[in-house]
Amino acid sequence: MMVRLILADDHQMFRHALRALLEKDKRMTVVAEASSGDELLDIVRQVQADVVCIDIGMPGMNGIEATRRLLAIQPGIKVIGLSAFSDRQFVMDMLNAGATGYVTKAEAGDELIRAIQTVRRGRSYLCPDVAATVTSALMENMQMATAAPRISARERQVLQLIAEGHTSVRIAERLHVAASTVEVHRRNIMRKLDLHSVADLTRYAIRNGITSVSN
Amino acid sequence: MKDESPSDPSSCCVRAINLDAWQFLKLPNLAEPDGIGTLDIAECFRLKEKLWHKARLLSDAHRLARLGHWEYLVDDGRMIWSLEIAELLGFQAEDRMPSPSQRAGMHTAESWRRFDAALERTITTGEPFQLDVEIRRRDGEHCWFMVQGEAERDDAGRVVKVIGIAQDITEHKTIEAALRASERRLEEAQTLCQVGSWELDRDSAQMKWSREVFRLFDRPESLGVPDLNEAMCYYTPESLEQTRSAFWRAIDTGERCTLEQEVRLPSGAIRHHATVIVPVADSSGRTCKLFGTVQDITERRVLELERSKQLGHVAELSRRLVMVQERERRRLASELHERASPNLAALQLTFSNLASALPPDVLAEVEPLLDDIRGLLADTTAGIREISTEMRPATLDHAGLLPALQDYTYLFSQRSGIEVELAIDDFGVPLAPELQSVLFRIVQEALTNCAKHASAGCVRVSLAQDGNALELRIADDGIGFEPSMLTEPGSAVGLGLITMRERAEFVGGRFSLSSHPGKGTEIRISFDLHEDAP
Repeated sequence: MMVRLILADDHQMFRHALRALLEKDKRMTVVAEASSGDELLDIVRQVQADVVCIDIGMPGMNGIEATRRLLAIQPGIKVIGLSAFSDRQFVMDMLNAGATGYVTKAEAGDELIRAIQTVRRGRSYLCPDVAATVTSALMENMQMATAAPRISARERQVLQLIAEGHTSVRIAERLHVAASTVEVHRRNIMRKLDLHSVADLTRYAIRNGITSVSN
Repeated sequence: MKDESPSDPSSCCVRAINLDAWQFLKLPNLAEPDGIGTLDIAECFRLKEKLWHKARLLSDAHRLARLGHWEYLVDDGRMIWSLEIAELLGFQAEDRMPSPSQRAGMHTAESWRRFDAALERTITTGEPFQLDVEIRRRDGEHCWFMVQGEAERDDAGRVVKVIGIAQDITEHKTIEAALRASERRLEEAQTLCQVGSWELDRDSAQMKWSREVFRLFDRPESLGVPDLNEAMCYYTPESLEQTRSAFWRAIDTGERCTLEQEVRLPSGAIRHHATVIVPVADSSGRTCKLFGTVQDITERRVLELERSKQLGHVAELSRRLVMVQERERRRLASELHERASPNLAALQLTFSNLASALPPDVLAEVEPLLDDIRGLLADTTAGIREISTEMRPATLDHAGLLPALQDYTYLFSQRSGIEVELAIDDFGVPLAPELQSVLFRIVQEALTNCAKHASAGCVRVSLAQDGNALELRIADDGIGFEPSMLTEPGSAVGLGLITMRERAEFVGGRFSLSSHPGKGTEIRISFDLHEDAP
């Protein structure tokens, strides 16, 4: 069944790109766009929608306040918070205002699609970035769905080579990229997987079959 | 003493008192009608012995007192000196008496003139005289003599002799000169440091002032020390009261005290004095006298006021500095976020769209490149977010100190592996934004230091309210350090801690640190809440 979406974000280019991405999925259609909280409330009174993706950092009325108000108008609508921040307080505030999903803008690709699908079915969704910072107390109260973190093919390549003990320079040579790019990938991997040392990375690699113990 | 007498039994010799002459004592032949008469002269001898002995004693006494006697015979114009005077002037017994001109030469010109004039006057009027003369002794030494003279008249009433004494007072004069020099030095010293000294007799209420005190009160010396009523006019009513009670306190307790007074000079100018009062007790323990000093401290007070104004100014500037720094950070963080983050988010999405628009065979070929680009975008976004949060966490402005600390300490734990225990009271009164910022920064700094140096397993951060005071405590169980290391120049441990102390003090807090090698480190900062809290 078609999911009717409203996108609320004050950055036009972001909205545009997001719309393009979401509409590639044939199950979704963007029925309206808003660039402020006030505009969104107006739209919600006039247009029927299933899910609203709302930027919590909009100027004027922020996303948290807008969420509260729009749910008062249309209680059946599902709200997903979008933010550059993954600070716990923002997540809590959004959830307390009635949102059932939270996705950071950095992950606003496949994660957002997944979130939309999940909240549509009446469940809550927190993207991996955010899940780690939310306390277990919160998780007891809600049925939380969180996806396992996904790393790209390139990232998997880099992870394997790190686990096998190669230096960044060696890895860079192997993959024909700059050493700084290798560093970028390493940072991203550690952030995505919430790991903090090369030893942790190696353990993860072994456990997930990315590399074997004997190499 | 009996000597060999000539055959004449009527005469004998006795040795007289005057040692340098023999005197023959011729005794008349006294005959009795019925035989040879005798005269008992034993008594005579005894008396003369006594007299001689007494003269000896007198001579010794004179020597001890450095005294001698002299006689001036008016008709002859002849001066006779006793042996003592001769010795005092450096002459020996066998020397000849100096002539008048020689004698004059021994005096200074002025001294001789005075002596001569006094002598003349006594001869003429019969009045006694006393004066000091300055003499140069035979051996060249200068000395001073006190000379007294008395006229002796004959039966006709004519002055025939002037007799008197002369006493060597050189030592006395030297002491006098030294005393005067000492007094002069004291006066100079008082003038130099503008400190005067005074004395007050309790019972007579008589007061003495040193010259400098007159100057301090701008009062001519000719007017003398003011009496009580006059003195009161110099002080403002409040100062007068303080002065009175200070004096009475000193008198009653016998303890020295100091006070500052506001003084009104006759010209109308206002000066400030610092007075020290020292009570002196008599043998019964009763305060009989007071003495002390007065110092003009007007300039000092002006300087002190200036200084405290400056310090206040510096404190104000420091406070502003911290405020401005925070404001700048907030501005930078928000601008960074506003300019960079939305574009990066859009970039990521647009890029995703681009990637999905590629034909499959091209996609397969460039997949790694796409991954690299995605990785770069993700890392850049994350980097900006981290920098921005480090500068000024959004939560601090959005939700306050406690949530911001919770987030921060959670992240810190993840990154450093050090467990953080957070114990923060629920405050009835919300804290001022500046105070929240400072507290956050201090915790941030403390935890950073802890991670860098302490090798700790656990840190406890507590913020509690105790009456009117707020106390922030950060304690770790790490290896600790020697606090004296802080003062080592360029000490790595030192830098962060100094900033923390400054930050705390700039906003009126008190900072204390305790650490011992092996026993962990505790930082404690307390603020008064009800004061003009920043």
